[in-house]
Amino acid sequence: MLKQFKKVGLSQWKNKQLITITHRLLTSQSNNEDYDVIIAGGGLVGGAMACALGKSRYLEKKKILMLEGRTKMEEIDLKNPPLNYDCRVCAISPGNVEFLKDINSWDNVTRKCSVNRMQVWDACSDVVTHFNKHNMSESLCWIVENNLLQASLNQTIDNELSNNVSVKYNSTLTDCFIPNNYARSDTRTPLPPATVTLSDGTILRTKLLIAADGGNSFISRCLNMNKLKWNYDQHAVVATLNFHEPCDNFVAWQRFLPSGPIALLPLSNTSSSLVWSTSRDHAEELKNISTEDFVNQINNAFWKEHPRDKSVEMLQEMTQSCLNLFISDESSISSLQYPPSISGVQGGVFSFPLGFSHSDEYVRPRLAFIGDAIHRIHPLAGQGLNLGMRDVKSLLDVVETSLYNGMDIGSLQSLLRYESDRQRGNLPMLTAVDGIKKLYSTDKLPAVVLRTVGSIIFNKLDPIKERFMKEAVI
Amino acid sequence: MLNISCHSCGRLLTTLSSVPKFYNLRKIHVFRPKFTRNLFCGNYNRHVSRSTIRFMTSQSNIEYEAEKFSKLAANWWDENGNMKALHSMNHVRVPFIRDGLISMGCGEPFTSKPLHGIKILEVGCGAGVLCEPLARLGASVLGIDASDHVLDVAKMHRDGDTELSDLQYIDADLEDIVGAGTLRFHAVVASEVVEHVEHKMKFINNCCSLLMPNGSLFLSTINRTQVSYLLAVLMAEEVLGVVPPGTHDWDMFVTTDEIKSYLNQGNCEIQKIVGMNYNPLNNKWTKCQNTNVNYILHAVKKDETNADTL
Repeated sequence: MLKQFKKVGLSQWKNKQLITITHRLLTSQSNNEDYDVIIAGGGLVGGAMACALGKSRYLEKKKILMLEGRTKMEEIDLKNPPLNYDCRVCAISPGNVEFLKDINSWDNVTRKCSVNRMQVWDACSDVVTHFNKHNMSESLCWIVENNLLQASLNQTIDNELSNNVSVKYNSTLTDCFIPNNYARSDTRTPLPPATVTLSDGTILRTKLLIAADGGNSFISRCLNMNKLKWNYDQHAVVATLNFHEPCDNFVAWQRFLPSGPIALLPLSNTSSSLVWSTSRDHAEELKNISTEDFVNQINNAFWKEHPRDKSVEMLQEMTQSCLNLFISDESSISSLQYPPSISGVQGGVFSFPLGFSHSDEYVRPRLAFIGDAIHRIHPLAGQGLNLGMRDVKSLLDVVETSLYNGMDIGSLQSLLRYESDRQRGNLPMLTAVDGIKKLYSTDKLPAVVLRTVGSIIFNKLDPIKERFMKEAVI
Repeated sequence: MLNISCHSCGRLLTTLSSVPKFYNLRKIHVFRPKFTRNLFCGNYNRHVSRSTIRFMTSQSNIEYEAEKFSKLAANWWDENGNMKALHSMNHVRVPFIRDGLISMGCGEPFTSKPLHGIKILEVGCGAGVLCEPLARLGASVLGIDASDHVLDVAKMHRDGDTELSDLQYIDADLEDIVGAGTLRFHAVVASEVVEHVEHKMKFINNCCSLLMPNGSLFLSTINRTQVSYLLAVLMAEEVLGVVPPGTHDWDMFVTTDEIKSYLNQGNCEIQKIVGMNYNPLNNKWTKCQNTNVNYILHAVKKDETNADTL
């Protein structure tokens, strides 16, 4: 037994170096189409995922590929951004700003505006809610144009991460295969890699496929994944607006009209971005009318008084005086301020449809979804991109932990931790925003009463307000 | 203090401060029927005369245990099958081994290959559930096991994966590796093995002799206490079905004191010992203070060369 061992086992053990080198040579020459991670979708969330994985020290020797269906966007010189603002903007919470700083994509973005205060009020009652931190100079969130953030992420990938991250543009997926963990025929073989097929016939294999391909995700449809979804009968109208006169612009305004909320997000001292969620017909009308009519409609939407129910006013006073008995708080009396008046529109007016969706499954063996592919939310709370960024952070953490624990990067055991973590984070926000949207989309008396009383209590009780703000800024 | 060890398997039986005049000690330990022994006897180290005697020699014991596991070979890698607790135990074992080696200066923390250049021997590797993560972390791993069916499964699972080129399996016994004479490792890992080995002292001595000076020995096993009978044998095998019935023999479990004495004889010192807690509801292992059921320890071989100069 010993002699046999010496002949066979010991020589194998001592020659392992030769075996290792040969094996490595063979695998590197034979196929260029094996990757460690493929990210399907190069938008804001997909780009952030590529940057985060590329910068991670645990993935420094791994091959990462980002697939984007569109052509490469035109180079934008971030130090001299184009004069016209992009009409699609996003609100980024402080927690996500820190994350973008970690992936070296925040400081490049030279044009961004801090929101230090928010005013939210209802057309059907007098209740006004203000959000701000104790120190008024601290920001609640930052407003950044989508194209500038995208350019920043692309530049980080091109300039700093070209060692391990590569990008393929104009690549649409035509098919994908994900191995089935539980019903596999032979558990003695390792879990096969996931494969995607591109429109030019190339087949790419990967250990982990991250699907960041948006609300109409191809991968989700290809795998027949169940989603809970419905369309809001609303379109969001977006445009960049100019003011009559420059002012200190650090406030975000949102008024809930019965047809939908209208919001002004600050961009600079002279302009703000409009996001008006309204019915499909009204959205078409807004896109086609003259600039003067458009501006008038916006100003009216913010300034015009709507018919009030006497009972609502009475109830409002009663609730306020009731609460004043228990909690005496001078700052609770919120005064209504008006946003600066609009004088004109910069660039065009666009619209996009709104809907809600939430996917049943976030992960499968060798597959993880991030961003809009698993959740679509109404823009009234500005959380769409924030939820996507938190998905990126959580998946990065799970991938790094499983690599540092020696696990297979695409094993379902580790990906399920990402699913639990993000379901816990996404579901409350999705339910709350959907609830608020439904509550405020009518002017029927019971709903108005409920939301008036609710808002007054919310305003009075600072702990609840702080908790709510804490959730929104991580 | 007088240590009385069994002349058959070497297990520490009892410690006496003095030997009474007419105390008649039988120096080979025997087993009582399980029920009475385990539930009613307080002192597990005392042995008395009895009617049934069971002897087990080393060879037949290894074959018996190996056959038990060969039957489970086909489904070993099914993460939701019979071995699911072993797979989820990696969540505690792999960081423990990795951090233990890093604390001894073997390896770089927070890098993509923290155990690069470290030679590890895993005794009783099974189908490679613990070998593969260690190999992915950059270590050169050699896995041995008594059952060649299980090793075939291990090789089949390794062969598809390009990251596992530095992982070798050999169908050999621990004595063969010791007998080769020249092989030394930075670390020897014997996880969930000691409770299946009859001659524990010899086993641990062999493991210790394969270590480099200041090398690390990682053992994970189950303690022999009343609680462990209830949880690891009764509940796990019969009631909840976490492991197949007959996997564990309570008499073969090792207490922390016994293992400390074996390690001392092998010239190793325990650096760290932590208990592991299993939650059968969500199949998760966590570290805990209590070593009454499962525990994992990190022992370091004393460096004799330095001791001489001191």
